[in-house]
Amino acid sequence: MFGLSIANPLVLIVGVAGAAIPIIIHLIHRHRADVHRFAAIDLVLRTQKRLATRLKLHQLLLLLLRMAAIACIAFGLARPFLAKRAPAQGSRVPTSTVIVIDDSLSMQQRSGAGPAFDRALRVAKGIVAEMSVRDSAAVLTTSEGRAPARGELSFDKRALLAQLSRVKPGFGSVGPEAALAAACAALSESRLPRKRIVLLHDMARSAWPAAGLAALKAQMVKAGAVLEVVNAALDEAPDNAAVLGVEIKRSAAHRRDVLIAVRVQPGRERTRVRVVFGDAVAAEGFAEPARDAVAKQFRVSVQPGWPNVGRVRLPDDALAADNTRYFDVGFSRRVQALLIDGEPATAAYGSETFFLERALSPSRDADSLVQARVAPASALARLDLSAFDWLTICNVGDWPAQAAAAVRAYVEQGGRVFVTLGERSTGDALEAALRGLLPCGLRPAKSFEARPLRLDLDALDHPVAAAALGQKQSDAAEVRFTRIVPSDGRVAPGTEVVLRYSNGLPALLLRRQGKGAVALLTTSVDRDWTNLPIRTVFVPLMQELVRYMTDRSDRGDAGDTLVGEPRRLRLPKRIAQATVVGPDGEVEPLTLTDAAWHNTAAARRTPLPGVYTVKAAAPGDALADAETVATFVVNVDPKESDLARLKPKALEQALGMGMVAFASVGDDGSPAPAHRAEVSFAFLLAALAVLMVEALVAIRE
Amino acid sequence: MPSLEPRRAAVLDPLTVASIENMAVRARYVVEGTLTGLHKSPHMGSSVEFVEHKEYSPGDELKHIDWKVLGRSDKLYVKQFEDETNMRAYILVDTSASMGYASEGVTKLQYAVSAAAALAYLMLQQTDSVGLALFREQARPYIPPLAKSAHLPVILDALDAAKPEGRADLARVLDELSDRIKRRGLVIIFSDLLDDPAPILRALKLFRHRRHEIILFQVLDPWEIDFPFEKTTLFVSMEDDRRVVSDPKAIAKHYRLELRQLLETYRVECLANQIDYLLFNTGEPLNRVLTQYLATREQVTCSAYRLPTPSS
Repeated sequence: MFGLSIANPLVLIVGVAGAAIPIIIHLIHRHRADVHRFAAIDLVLRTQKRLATRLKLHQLLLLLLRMAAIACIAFGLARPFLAKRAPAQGSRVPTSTVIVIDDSLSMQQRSGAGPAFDRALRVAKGIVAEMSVRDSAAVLTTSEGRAPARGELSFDKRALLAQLSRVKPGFGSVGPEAALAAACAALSESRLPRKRIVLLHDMARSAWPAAGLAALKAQMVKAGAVLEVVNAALDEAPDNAAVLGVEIKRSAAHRRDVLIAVRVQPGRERTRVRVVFGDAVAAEGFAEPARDAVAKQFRVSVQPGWPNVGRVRLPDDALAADNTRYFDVGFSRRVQALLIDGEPATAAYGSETFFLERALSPSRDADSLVQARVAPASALARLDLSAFDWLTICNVGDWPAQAAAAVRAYVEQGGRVFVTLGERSTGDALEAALRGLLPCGLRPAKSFEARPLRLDLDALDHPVAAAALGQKQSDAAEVRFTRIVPSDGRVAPGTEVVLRYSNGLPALLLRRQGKGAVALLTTSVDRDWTNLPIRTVFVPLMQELVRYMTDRSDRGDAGDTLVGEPRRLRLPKRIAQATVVGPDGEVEPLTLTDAAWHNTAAARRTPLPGVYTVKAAAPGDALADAETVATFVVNVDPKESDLARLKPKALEQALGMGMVAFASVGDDGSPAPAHRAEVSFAFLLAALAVLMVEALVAIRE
Repeated sequence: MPSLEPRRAAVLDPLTVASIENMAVRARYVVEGTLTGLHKSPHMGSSVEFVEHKEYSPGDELKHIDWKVLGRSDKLYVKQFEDETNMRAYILVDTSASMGYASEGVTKLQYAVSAAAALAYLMLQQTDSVGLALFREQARPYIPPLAKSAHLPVILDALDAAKPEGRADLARVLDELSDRIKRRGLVIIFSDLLDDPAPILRALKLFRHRRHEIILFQVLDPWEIDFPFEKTTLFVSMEDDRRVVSDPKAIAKHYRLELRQLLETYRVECLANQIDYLLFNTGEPLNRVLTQYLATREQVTCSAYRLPTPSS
């Protein structure tokens, strides 16, 4: 059923009072009539008498038309709407109700007197309070909807109210479909004659995927339930600026200079954007109002003493939680790599390490993990290898005892060694020098000029291969090997085969050796024997190999972690126990999984945006002195910043008329009239028509 | 009716005329202003009236032989005429309160008085007898007609003293005067005639039945004719305490219709009863009044025989 309601009753009251203006003018006008002594008053009286009735009617009609015009204008300005009323809550028919409260981030938007979530909670409490002894209800939040149906219907009002008092607004982004499905499942069990789901929501368009509505309709039909959607926010979305994303790029010229690219959803007014590290404002700018997101870039020189984690801040507005976005500039310690060139050349590109060096530091703008230094083979005995995190030995043929001992000691102390072969380094000398370190035994080099070998792309199970080649298989398919030093089949225990040739022989192998690790490429790392160095897969392959071998655990999971999502972590082997400390101070002990090169874990508790710290500590240990192993940031889903409202009509069309009713909430928590069709225009048009009629009647007097 | 050149019309503008305080001067001013334009002599022939037949005796003028009677009776008879040296004229002026109305310029009474004075002056110059009656509900004062030049100041003083007051009842006045006026004459009436026309017309017919010539001048103000009022107005009667609030724009059309009907009633009835009827707008020059009088007077002097009086 529909009823006429008014959005601005005060305007209506003033306007209707204004309809008395024509009467007042008429009376004043009458009172202020000119006085004229007139001789032919008999004629006037006769005329007046003859026209008396007609004049009175005419004047009355004009008066009524003018009053009607003012009243229509008043109604039009008061924004009347036809409201389809949600069924009365106090229905006498025993009713099962599942109250689904949207606790996503967008419900924290402030509209009217307070956050939409608070208003939703008031409505929910009102519904429970009005339950009769024959009514049952359950309470769900949209974030809980992912879990199996927890909404067991209860007749206990006190318990329901207590449950409601524990419901808190969240920072996640969860649509209502899972919770609604759970509600339908709960209502299916009910035997009461009337079943309804009351969804307390802000009608944010982004929360309603079109695909889920068809399934919802079927579930509702099966449960025999109707859906009442109560809009807890204002019909009009408030002005909301938000930080949608942050990207960090390292400056090629200065390591501490970073380029911070910020994507901002601007507000209706100029928005100030700040980059903050700790308490220091590193950069500041303004975003002008625009319909779409705007990009801002800030060049920041990260000062010593600043934390790695910063944040981009906007001034608070209707939804403050999306005005801060955290980022990690990733100043992890770079990998110091020593590249031993076994075949240096005067022409740079002729050197054994030319392509490898460029793969480890791909371009000037790259956020290169590796700082590489090239040295001749003689440096093996001279240099202090412990200063390097990673040692590459490329095609080294001569192995003085001192050099071999240095390498051996380096591995024993935890160093990572990557060995590549070539004309000079074929196998025997190498095996002799690094006996026991290589992942496998080697045979003499073999040529495949006639039919070059390829990579076996069906065997990309190793994490390094999957990360490096998984998205570049078309390029990997073009890799050719014309000469290799084949494995003799004697593979050391614990060896990992990263890549294989198309003939099945291992191409790239890894093995942990005590504290250290050794990787072996059974071909050259230059273009002598293969075109691998000039294929695009070469760069990510080398980068992933370095990461994998050097335990850079803070790069364990690329991309933003959003609230509610787990964060995968790679922790050094040496870390036996770890705990995550959230921004609210809550701790989550991690369960470490032993992987070959690292320990992995998943931080599952990410309810808040902010900085999470991984501490090397056991549950119960004092955390203050515990080593900080890693940090990661969690941010809100930028989807929640889009507060544009879904039109009720769209839901009606998807679910069908009769399956869904709408209501909105007054500031006192009482559900206000429903989904509505504004009829202001009709009233204003009526006012125009009345004024035209009035003009015609006035002319025709 | 001959029209006056614009200069003469300006000279005879009612405001200009009314500004002449001395009534005698004013009267003469109007007359001479009118007559000069018409190139007429102020002296006109006297009128005669057939009284009876007598047998022809030698020496009687052959032009007075009534040939029709000869044809009927084979006897010679001559007509005998009453030799009147002047016409008897009675000027009646309405001095009720409504005649005091003036939108702009002169009041209707001032206009009527100026016209009456001019007529009296002219007629006395022509050695006609002129009488005057100022009337409201009665004819007071009534000055019987005389042809002496010394009579003019009496008339002019009475006109000068006229004040618009009270209510008019022309029908009753005519009834009253019908007893006083025995001999036939010319009755010139100045009034706004805004009362019920029926009794007035009945009284006029009776007068006409008694073979009096009647010239009826209806004097109205331009605003009474045009009704140009725009704003809501409280109209107050000039003769009593009646009042009415009216939206003039709403009734103007119908008011003018009412007025037209009233004027048409007078015009038609007067025409039917051979009463000269003229509508005067107080904004018009006064020469029209005199010109009309002169036209009527000419009719009377040129014809020895009178038309049969209309049956009542």
